[in-house]
Amino acid sequence: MKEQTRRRLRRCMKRLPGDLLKIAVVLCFVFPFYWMICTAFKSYSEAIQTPVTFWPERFSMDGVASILGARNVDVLRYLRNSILITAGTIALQMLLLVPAAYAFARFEFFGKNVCFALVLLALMIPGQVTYITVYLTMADWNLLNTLWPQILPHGANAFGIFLLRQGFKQVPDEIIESAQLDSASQVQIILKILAPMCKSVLLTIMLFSFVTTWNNYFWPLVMTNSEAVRPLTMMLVRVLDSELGTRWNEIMAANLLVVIPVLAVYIFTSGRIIKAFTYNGIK
Amino acid sequence: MKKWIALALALLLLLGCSACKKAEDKEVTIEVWHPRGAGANGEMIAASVAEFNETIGAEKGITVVEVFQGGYGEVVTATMNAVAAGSSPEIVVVENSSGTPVLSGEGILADLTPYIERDQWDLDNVQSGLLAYCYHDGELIAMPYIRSTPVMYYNKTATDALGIEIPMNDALTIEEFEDLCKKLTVKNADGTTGVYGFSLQSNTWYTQNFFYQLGSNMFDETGKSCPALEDGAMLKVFTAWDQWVQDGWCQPFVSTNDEAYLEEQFSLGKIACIFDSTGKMGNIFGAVEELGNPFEIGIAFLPSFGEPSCPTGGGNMAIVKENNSEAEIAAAWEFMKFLLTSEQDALNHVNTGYAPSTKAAADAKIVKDLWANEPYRQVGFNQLAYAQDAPASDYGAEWGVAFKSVISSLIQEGTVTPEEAVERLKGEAASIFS
Repeated sequence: MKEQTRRRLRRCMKRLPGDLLKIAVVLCFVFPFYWMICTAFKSYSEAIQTPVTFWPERFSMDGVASILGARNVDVLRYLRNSILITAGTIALQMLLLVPAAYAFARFEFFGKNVCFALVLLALMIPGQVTYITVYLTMADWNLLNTLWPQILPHGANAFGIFLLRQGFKQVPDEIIESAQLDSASQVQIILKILAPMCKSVLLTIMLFSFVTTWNNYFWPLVMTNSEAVRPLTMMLVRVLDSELGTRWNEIMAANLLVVIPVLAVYIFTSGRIIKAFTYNGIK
Repeated sequence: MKKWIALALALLLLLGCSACKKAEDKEVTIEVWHPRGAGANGEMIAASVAEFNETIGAEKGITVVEVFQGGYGEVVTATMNAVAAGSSPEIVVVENSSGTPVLSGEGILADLTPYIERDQWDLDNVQSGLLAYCYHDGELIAMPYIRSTPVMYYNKTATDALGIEIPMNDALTIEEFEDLCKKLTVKNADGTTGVYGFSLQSNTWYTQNFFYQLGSNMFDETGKSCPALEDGAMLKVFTAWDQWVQDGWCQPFVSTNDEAYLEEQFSLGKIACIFDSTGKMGNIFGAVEELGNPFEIGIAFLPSFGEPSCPTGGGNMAIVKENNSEAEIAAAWEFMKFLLTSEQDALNHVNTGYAPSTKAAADAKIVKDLWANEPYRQVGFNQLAYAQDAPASDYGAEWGVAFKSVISSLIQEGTVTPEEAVERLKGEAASIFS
C-alpha cells in the first residue's frame, strides 16, 4: 500500500511542473476576459480605485446601461451590421472556397500548381498592403456607403481553401468513384459526399471566418464613411472617445457586448474544431 | 435541399446589404465628419444637426448628416482618403494645430472670405485668440468649433482648509505654485505619499507653454528647429520638473493613458493639482461627484514662469471644396454659421466645457447664468486673452515621440540629468530636423 502511494506521489510530482505551466498559460489567456467582465459590472468609482478589486464590491449595471442607453450610439444598428457582414462574408466564402478546394484536391489541370501557389501567396500578403487599392476600387464602384466593402474583399479565404483541400484529400477515392458510377454530378459529389464528410473542417473554417470578421476593426475603420454601415467594433471607437474622459466600466461593457457572440459560438463549436485538427484516420 | 435553402437565405441577406445606403437625397445633403464620440460630446453635435435640419435646413432644402470618424487623426486620414477617392465630406472637424495645417496645405479647404463678405457676417465676433491656424496663405479656411485650453484644476476644499486663496483671473508664479503644491502634499505615517501636490502629463502642450512663458518655443516659425533646446528654456523647465519629482510632491507620469490616470487620481483626491483641458470639465466634476467623496474643485490659470499664457487645442471646422459643388459648399457654410450662432456656441460651452468660439456666446443668458452660479467655468474663457499657439511643424509627430522618450528617462526612470536630457534631444533634433 505504501509502495502504491509512493508510486502515485512520484507520478504526480512528475506531472506537477507541466500542470503548473498549463495552469499559468490558461490564467494568462483567461484573466483578461475575467477582468473585462468584472470591470463591466463595477461602478466607475470602483473601476478606477486603487488598490484594485478582483470582484465587484457592489454589482453595478451603470456601464451596460450607459452603452445601451446612449442617445447617439445605436447598438442594434451596429449589431445588425455585424451580423449581416459576418453572415454575408461566410456565405460568400463557402460559395467560393468549397469548389476551389475540390478542384485543387481532386483534379489535375493546366496551371494547377501556379493557382495553388497564388492561394498560398495570398496567405502571406498582409491585408494592410491592399487597403488603399481596395478603397479606391470601392469608391469607383460607388460602394463606399454600403456593406459590400466589408464583405467582397474577404470573399476568398486562402486559409480555408488550404484547409478544406487537405480535408477533401482525406476522403478515399473509392467513395468518389462509386458516386461517379452512380451518375452523381460534381455538385452532388461535393454537396452529398465531401461536404458531409468534412463537416468539422467546414465548421472550423466558418468559425475562424466568424471570429476574424466579427472582430475586424481596422478594415471597417478605413472602408466606411457612414455610421449606417459600421459594425459593432466601431461602436467601441465611439465609446472610447477620450475628449471628455475615459470611463473604464463603459468601455469594458461595450467590449463585453462585442465578445459575447464570439464566445457563445466558440463554446458550441469547440468540439468540432478539435476534431477537425486531430482527425487523421479513414472516414 | 436544406443546404440550398440556407444558401439562398444567405444570398438574400447579401441583397439586403445593398439596401444600406446613404440618406436619401433632398435638395442638398451634406456630411459633417467629426471626432465627437459618445456622451455629452456626441449628443451635442447630434442635437445641433437635428435642430438645423428641422429649422434652417428645412427652409433652405439642406440636410446635414453627422458622421463620427474616430479621433482627430482618423478624421484627417479619412478625409484624405475620401478626397483621393473622389467623394469628400462637406465639413470636417480637425485638430487646430496638427490637423488644419495638413488639410490646408493640400489646398482642399474652401476660402470662407467670399461667403463672409456676401452675408456680411461679423468675423470680429470670433475670438481672435482661436484663429491662429484658421488662416492659410491669406485665406480664411477654418473656424474654431470645439476649442479648449488647459487650466489648473485643484482641490479647493484642501486649499480652503489651509487658508490659501488662488486667484481666478491671474496666474500663480512658479514659486507660488511650488509652495502651494508642497503644502497640499500629504505624507503617510510610513513615509509614502498619500496625496501628491501635483503631477504633470507627458503631453507636450504643457512643456511648450512653459517654453513660451520663458520667451522661447517648441518650434521656430519654419518648424525646422527647436529654439528651447539652444536658449536654455528647455533646460530650465526640465530642471524644475525634475526637482519637483525629487522633492517628492510631484508624481511622475505613468506610461500609458497618463491623462486618464491623472484625472482618476485627481477625482479620487490622491493628486491635489493637475493641468487638464477645459473640455474635460464635465467629466472631472461628474467623476468627483460620482465617487461619493466629493470635494470642491477649483479652477485657475496655468502657473507661469513669466507672463500668463495658455496653449489652445481642440477642433476647428473647415469646408472641403475638393469634389464638392458650389451648392454643397454654400450649404456647408449655412450649417457652419448656425453652429457659430450665440445660442449654439453657448450650448456647446455649457454642455461640454469647450471654450466659446464667439464673443456673443459669452453674453448669452445661459452662459452668464452658468458663470454666475459656477464662476470657475469662466476661467478658461478669461485665460484665452493670453492664448498662444506653437508654430506647426512637419516633424511634429516624430519630434513628439523623441521628446516623450527623453522625458520618460528623466522623470519616470530618473536615469538622466536635465542636462543629459537636453543633450540627448539635441542629438535627436539633428537627425529629425535635417
